[in-house]
Amino acid sequence: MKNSIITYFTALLMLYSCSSTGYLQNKYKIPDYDKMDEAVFGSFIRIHLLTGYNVEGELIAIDNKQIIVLQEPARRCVQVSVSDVRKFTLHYARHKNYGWTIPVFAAASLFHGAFALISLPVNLITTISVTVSAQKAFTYSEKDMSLNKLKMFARFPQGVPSGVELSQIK
Amino acid sequence: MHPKFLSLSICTTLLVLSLSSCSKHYFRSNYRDSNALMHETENLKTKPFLKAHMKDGTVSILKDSWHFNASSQTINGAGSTYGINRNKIFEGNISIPVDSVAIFETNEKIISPEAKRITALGILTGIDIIVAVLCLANPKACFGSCPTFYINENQGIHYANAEGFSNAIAPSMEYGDIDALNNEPIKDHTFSVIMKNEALETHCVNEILLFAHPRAEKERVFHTPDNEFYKCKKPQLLTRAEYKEENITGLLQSQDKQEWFSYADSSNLICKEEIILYFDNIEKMGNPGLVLSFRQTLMTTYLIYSALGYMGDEVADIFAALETQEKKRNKLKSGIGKELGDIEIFIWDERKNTWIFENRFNETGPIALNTQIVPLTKRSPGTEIKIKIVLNKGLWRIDHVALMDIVEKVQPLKIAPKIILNKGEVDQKAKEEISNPEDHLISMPGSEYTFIFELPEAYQDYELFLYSKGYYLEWMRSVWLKEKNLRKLRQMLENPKKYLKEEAANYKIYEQNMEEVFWNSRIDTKNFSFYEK
Repeated sequence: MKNSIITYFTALLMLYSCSSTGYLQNKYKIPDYDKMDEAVFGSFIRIHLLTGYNVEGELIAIDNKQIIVLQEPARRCVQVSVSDVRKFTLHYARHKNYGWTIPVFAAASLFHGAFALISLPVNLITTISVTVSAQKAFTYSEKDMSLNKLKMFARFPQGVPSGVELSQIK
Repeated sequence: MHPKFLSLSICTTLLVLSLSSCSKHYFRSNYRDSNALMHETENLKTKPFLKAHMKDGTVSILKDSWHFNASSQTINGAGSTYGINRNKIFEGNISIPVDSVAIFETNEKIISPEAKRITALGILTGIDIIVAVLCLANPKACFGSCPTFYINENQGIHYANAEGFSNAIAPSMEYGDIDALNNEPIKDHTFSVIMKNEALETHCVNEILLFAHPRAEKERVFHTPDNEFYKCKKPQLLTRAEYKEENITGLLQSQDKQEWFSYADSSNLICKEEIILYFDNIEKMGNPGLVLSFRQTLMTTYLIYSALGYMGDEVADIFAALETQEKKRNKLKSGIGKELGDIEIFIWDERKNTWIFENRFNETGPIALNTQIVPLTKRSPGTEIKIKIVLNKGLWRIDHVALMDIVEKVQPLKIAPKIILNKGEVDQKAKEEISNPEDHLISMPGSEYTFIFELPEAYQDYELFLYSKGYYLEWMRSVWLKEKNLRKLRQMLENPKKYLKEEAANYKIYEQNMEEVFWNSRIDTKNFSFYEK
């Protein structure tokens, strides 16, 4: 039967998952989870500012006053005042995209006739949960970690080395 | 929703979700001095990779063979060094003075959380497959339909011998339906038919009769779409059948449930197509009649369910209006059905060099095959007959076509059931209900009645037909309530042409997923009719 709302919802979710995962993971060289000990770059961070704007890129360094983020594609460092940060999400390893399971399992309910009444919500809840939990895997937010501990995921956990200009960092 | 199903679905979801959930894991450690590093790593069997963030911004990564030299205050090992922009500047044995290091970093190996998710999806896949297999094995339980009738007790849904009054979805739409049973030669003069309600419907059965007409060896009796009965003999096999220049003779020559069908047009559900049939060497046939075994695809089921969905929570009001207003009832009956049309039979007139309309077949229902005959009254003289079947694309499935020589029009005997069994027990009340024209036998989901008839002993064998009269009430599903769309319902009734065009894309999604898997999943039938033997 026609489940146009579900179809649109699924399409949007797929679009969201595609736009926010594969593209970013490649763009910011986010490592696989089993290669974390060989990763040389800072983790990818998305910072939500109190002003409503977002800043995202490679986490370069953090101190008590500011966070330095290297943005693509300009490969230019921007400084964000710690006091302006509303929340953040840090992606330290690549996650798998399970977005495809949502339409596939929803379609499977078509074979269940009247029992789709049960199987469709079960399939949708489970696959959406799996997709969302996979997207949230290998991430930290301000709920998991303070800004002070976030340093560990910067390219320079010790702070920007003396003598190095931000413009030199690429 | 039934509380049992609700709790089952909640338990399943929770089980699967518990497997897919994950907790935060902290795997990275930073050390500002070498003593802390040594203290934390000295008891480890396998040393982690060591990342030394140097004060100048470079970083060295030492593999798991690194060691600390206390005398030289250096960390030594094999690895690589990277510049501030993380381009590799050295690879090999490295010796790092600890006082040049700003921070040491180690990482625990992260255990993949994917195993839990894959397990969760695996369980879900297993449950989905089990439900799908159960639905495919017993589709009426899942997909619904009208009452079906079986000659043999253990026949599955794919072998239903008849389905009754498929169009009667409301009391006012009650009608009597005749279905050929294509029975094998009878062994004794007691004949039973099992009526099942395996759907989420209430079946209200007013009358069940067995129509029987004696037949001699090599004789058959068929009924027409107008319920006239003809005794026939000398079957003439199909010589050739063509669909879009494709030879489909093999599919139509035998009554073997290997059916020809096509898929609906993707831009408009109203779309006609043609099959051309050739019969050679028919010079000995006096009065040929075309016998067709056919049934519908799931298109009509889809349309009925869609209509109920559009009614949403107003379904009771709309059905009440249907009961009291004949005009609305006629609209429901004629609109969509008229646009999709019948299976139209044309015969080639050699003299006029044109197709002449001969007759039409129509019977609603996707489960049981209907076998009917139309006399060919407009044939032109000759030794061959060329017939054109015009039908709506994606609406019909045709199993068999043949010509029979019509001997005479006959009147079958009408036999009422002698005994009715309700799950094996004699049910006198059911018999009283079915015998009283004012009363109905109510058959609920899971009900199973056996009607036992006694055939006159005057003849050895009979051709049998089942007559069933009644109506059924489709149970509203809560998921359908969400489909409420009265504008769409109005369009369906007032402007079926436009509706069927606009609905084509939605139906194609359903058709691709349902028709293909459902019907192609059938096992090869062993249900060859007596007629073919």
